[in-house]
Amino acid sequence: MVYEVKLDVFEGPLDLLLHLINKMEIDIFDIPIKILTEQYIDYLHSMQQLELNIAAEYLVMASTLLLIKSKMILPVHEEMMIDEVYDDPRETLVQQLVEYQQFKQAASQLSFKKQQREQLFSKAPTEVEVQTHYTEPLKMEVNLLVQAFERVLNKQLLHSPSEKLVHREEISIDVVIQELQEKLLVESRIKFNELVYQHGSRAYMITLFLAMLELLKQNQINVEEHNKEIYISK
Amino acid sequence: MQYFEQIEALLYVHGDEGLLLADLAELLNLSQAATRQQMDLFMIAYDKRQPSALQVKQYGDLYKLMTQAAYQEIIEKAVYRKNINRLSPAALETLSIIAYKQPITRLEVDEIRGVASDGPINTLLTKGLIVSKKRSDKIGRPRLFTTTTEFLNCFDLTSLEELPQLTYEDNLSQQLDLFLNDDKS
Repeated sequence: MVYEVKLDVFEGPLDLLLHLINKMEIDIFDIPIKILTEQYIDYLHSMQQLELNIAAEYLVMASTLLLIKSKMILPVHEEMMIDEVYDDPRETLVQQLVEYQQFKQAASQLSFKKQQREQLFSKAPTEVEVQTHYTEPLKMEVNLLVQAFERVLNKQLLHSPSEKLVHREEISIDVVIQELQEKLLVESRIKFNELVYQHGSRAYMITLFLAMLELLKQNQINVEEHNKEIYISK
Repeated sequence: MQYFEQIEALLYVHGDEGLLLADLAELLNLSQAATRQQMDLFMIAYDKRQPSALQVKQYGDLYKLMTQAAYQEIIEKAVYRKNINRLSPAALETLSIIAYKQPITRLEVDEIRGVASDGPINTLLTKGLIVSKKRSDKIGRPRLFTTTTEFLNCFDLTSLEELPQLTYEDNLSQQLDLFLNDDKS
């Protein structure tokens, strides 16, 4: 994999050139191309020494600089001076640099505006909640159910032996759901506690509770609390 | 002012989302032009209500009720600020170029920056700061990018006209002209 690394904090070859131009206090409109090219290529070399891969654009710029430099060295024919317009080989580069500098400036001004904007706050929009549709009213509030469950849980703790062999019991909710549904075919009302004492373990109790919630959600059973006992019915 | 309280209530409820001129026009059952007039009046009237911690800001066609800058400090003590989206220098540069030169193609942006701008442009698209709605007529029909209302919101600009002047714009272009026309005979 090839990693491209940004040279220092430069955004590209133009950024690097601007940095060099500022550092050497060069007049952007009369760039001493030889010196600038030397500095630029020196910079690339130091990156290579650090064994960093140089992004392609930097190399393209290096060859552009060399091209400009060689053009500057070429003697200018007299005919060119009379008939045609003499193009300064640095022209395109200078235009690019000037334009880029403008936008760097603009970017920093925009950044300041952004900071100003971040001083202002607004609240989140008001949401009107959509009521979900219940087909049948619950005969019991869920918190009461949870409270009742907690009571049973505590009772169970009192009954459990002081020394325990910890073993994992695998009880699936589906199995318990099925058991419950089968029982309800026979009996019209079942006491939660009874079921739990029949089976005995906490794991079963918890699974039973989950099974009840699931069946409640599916509207397949009704759950009521009476005298601190939980009753399950169809 | 006839609709003052109604507009105020709507602005409050819309909060961060802001109220679009078109939506307000529908709610008040007025034409967009008339609505704009009402909003202009509203903003003047609202400004006059001092002292107030609130102000109404306009970003393009979007109006938002916001707190004033003076209260930033106390608010930040109380409220946890959500992750502020920071823009990388590359993204900022790219965004500036698009803002000033829109509509503009990716290639044109690349040429100005001297580097590839795919990454920053994708970031800006994701953040909803730029969009591409049209294509250029040139070969390949490349996409043209423009800034969005969200851009105005992010940089506290009422409209594109409020973009800060490009520095030395006149000065530099003059110098550039001189430079380019030098030695030509």
